Amino acid sequence: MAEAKSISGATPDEARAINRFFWLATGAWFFTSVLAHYLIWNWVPWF
Amino acid sequence: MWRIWMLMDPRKVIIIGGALVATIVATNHFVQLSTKYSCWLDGTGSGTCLAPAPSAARNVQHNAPLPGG
Repeated sequence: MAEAKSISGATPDEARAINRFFWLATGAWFFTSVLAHYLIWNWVPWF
Repeated sequence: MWRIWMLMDPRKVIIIGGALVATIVATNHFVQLSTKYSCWLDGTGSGTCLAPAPSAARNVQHNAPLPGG
């Protein structure tokens, strides 16, 4: 029986690759956000 | 978690998620800009428009003291 197609059409390997990109992008987003908040805190502490 | 991408189309997630995040981030930036503590666009240089920040923000009374002292 041919491999069942997933709902989104992605194969397991593609899904794993997308997930790796997802976590890379999320990590980059968090790093940038922490850096921005650190810089802004040094400029105008908000507490 | 990777199985999620077999259920949800990554292109749709990126477009819809991106629009959602952009809306939230834009709203936050405009809220920040509207305050006197972080209006980084006004004034001659960055921050010159700021209200004098209290020496220690911790001891500033922002609202009425609680009843009962």
